Amino acid sequence: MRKKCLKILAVCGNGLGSSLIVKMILESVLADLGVYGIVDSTSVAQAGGMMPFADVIITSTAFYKGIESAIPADKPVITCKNILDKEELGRKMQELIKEKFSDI
Amino acid sequence: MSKKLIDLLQEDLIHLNVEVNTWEEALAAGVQLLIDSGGVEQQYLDGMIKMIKEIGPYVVIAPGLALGHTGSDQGVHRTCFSLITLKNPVNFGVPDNDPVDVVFCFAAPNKEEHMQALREMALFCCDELNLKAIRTAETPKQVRESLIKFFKEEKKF
Repeated sequence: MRKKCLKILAVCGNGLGSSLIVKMILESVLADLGVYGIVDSTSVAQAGGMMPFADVIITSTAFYKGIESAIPADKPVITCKNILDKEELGRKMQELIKEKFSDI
Repeated sequence: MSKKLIDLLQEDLIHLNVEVNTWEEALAAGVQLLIDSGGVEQQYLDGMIKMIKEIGPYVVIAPGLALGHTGSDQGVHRTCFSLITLKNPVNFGVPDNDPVDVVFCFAAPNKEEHMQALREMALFCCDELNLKAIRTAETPKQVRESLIKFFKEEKKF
């Protein structure tokens, strides 16, 4: 059976900076974990329409308050203090997969 | 075409030990270098500050490090990067990552053209030793030399 694809959405102010960096680092994290996933990056303005289709939302702690109210209540969210810290991103991703996506 | 960080971050786009008192002044100093190089209009700074006041300090990406940027529709002429270090660190209101003393600014006319430079900026700043090199550099030339040295070998996240 084909592995399930994890759909991850990285959200930042305008989809040009931190969300693109998160996408680059996360793609490396997923490869290391052997997880099949797609990472999209977007702006807060466009995130609303895309969030229902994502399995996981990722954003920075600095920015989380700005989008908290727009995130569907049941949607798993990862917030990163330091978006350049691959170890932090990897650890949080691994914990989330173990907890919510054990079929991946 | 995607440009390398070292090609965009010329010596006149690096200012060290800039004296500012607030986060707005820090971003203004960084964006001014982009304006002086003809990369963006004043509107770019105004748009960035307005957005931060609306949705929070999204420009702070790591401890001590900010990446000032805003939308492509805010007076952007071409892809450009600048780097300043602050003599006195400033707070952006992000307890985890304040105070900030290294500020990169960039502008991008679309979602692709700045990708390589952004990737290199992130790869470079992932490494604490490189941030230390930026903080202790005495001249813009020294910052560029650190970049060149770091990217002599291929780097991956």
